[in-house]
Amino acid sequence: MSDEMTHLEVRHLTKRYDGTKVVDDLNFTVDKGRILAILGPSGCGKSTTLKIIAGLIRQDSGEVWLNGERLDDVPANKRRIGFVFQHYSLFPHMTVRRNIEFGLRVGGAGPKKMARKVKELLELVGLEGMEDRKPSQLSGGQQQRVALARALAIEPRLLLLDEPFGALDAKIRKRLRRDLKKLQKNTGITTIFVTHDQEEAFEVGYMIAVMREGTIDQIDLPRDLYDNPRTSFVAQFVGNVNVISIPATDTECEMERMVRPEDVIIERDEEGKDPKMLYGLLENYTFLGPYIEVKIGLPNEDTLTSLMSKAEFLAKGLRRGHRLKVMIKSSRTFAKAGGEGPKNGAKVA
Amino acid sequence: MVENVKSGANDARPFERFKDVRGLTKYSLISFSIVLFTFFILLPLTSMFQFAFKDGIGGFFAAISTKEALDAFGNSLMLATLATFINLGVGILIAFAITRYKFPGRSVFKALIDLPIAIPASVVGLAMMMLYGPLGLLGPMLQEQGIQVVLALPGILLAHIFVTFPFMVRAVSVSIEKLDINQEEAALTLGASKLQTFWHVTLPSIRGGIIAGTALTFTRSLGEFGATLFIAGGMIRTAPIYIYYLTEAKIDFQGATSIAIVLMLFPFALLLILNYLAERFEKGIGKEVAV
Repeated sequence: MSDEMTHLEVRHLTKRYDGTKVVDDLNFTVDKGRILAILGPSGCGKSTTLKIIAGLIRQDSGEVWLNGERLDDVPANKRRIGFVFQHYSLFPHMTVRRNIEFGLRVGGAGPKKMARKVKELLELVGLEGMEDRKPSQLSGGQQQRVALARALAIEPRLLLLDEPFGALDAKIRKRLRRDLKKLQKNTGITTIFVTHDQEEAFEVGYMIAVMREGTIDQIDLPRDLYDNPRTSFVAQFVGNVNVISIPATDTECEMERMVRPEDVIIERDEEGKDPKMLYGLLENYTFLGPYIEVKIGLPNEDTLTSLMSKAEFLAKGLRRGHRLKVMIKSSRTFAKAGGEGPKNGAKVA
Repeated sequence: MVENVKSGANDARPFERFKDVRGLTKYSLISFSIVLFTFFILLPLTSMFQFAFKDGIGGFFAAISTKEALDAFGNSLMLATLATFINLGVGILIAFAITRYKFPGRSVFKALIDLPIAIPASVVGLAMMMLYGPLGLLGPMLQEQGIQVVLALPGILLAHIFVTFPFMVRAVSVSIEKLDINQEEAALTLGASKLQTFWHVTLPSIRGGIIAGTALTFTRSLGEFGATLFIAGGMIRTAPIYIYYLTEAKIDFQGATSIAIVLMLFPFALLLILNYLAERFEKGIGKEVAV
């Protein structure tokens, strides 16, 4: 990833609302032609960040650079950055054609160019023949496709999508995700995609930035994010995790040990009394298609979750009420939020 | 099976009874409305027509085409039109100011906007008289400059603007509040200037509020009586004041009712014009781009 690859760069971005920092010294880059998914809970500042990049909100401090050009004093209508909103925000009094043409029209394009572009874009988003419909005559998914076509019509230098599928039902959402990914690949447009849905971020994003309280905890490839979470927040927000509290000692503060369910290995052991080992009781199990999720009750009343394949579960012949030997294949330990301790997760054997 | 059917029938009965009660409420409410409508709207209007046309259609036209009548209609239409146009400009600006921006004293300002509706019209007239009249605070000063406010059209226009202004601000504010700001933001990101965004995106969306505000302002101004009477002092007659003059001074009920019928028709004409303009406007949207 050389510097020439960097398309968008955000430096020390900060935005306060009524004294609260919504975006707090934010730094990240997006490489040319890639999709960055910004993943975070609602209110973490991800939408504000997008609007600052688009020029719709002015930051208090920090810089936005696109393709080597500093954007901060460029007004939104001169940035040529496409934006897609969660609730589509099509112009309700205009037809699909007029909506898509809008950017070209205000840019002074001729009728021939507009007609060609509308045709091309409707094909791209799979809405041929819908030119003369009004937005109110389209389904939510179709409206969002029009919104995408409208944003792409100006041949934007960057595409920003703010929870674009958040208002759609699960099935349509999945299809649109796949279509978006394909479309992005074909057009090669650098894209930022904001979502609070982990599955969505993993499917769409080439890189994922996990955002919390106005800052990015970690920006990584999806796999690295899952395997090497850098903070306890990332570990808990991305994928499922068991959290085991470790009380404070004289030398160490209160810690939390994070274990992925698939890293909890169990074996039936009715007799074992090795003081160094952890023993528990099989409380319950749930079929999740090819996987089985097992709940293990520990002597201290905590519950651990273990995930294994159906074949493994059957091979081990496990039943409710079995006494289990619990082994933890790998885990990470973080200082408990608010306490002091090692900032980055130190690997625990 | 049989048990089930039976219990089902039992369940249905209380619901049926409830439906009967609902039916009773429904019919008494409807009859009540019909009675009210008859005595408060239908019968008064009918008797008005009866008076106006008691000498046939000729009498009606004679009454509405006297010079005095035409002057009164002219004054009323001119005042209503001017008040509407001025309030369109001022009202839309103020509506945006109070809905889109936060400023110190905004809530007080918002409450004060409704004041002209709350103050009786005669009080408005009296208050303006006290300010702009010959004994008022500003009156003599303006008179020296040769500007006659009271007992003249400018004063009446001021009063009309004052009493109608809340209607426009209210109606437009409501539609601005309903507007999806993301639509305007989308227009900006697509390269539209602020003016283009306002013209092509904002304005069409608040059109309903503007039409409602225009209709309310215009009809309210046409009917304005109390404040006008104080300021005009009988020197200038609008249509409502002319009606009053005919009944009080001339005891000419045929004439008064004829004028009243014409006055009633103006708002209908306005609605037709507004609908026509709205359609024209919609067709024109996006056709040409104002820069």
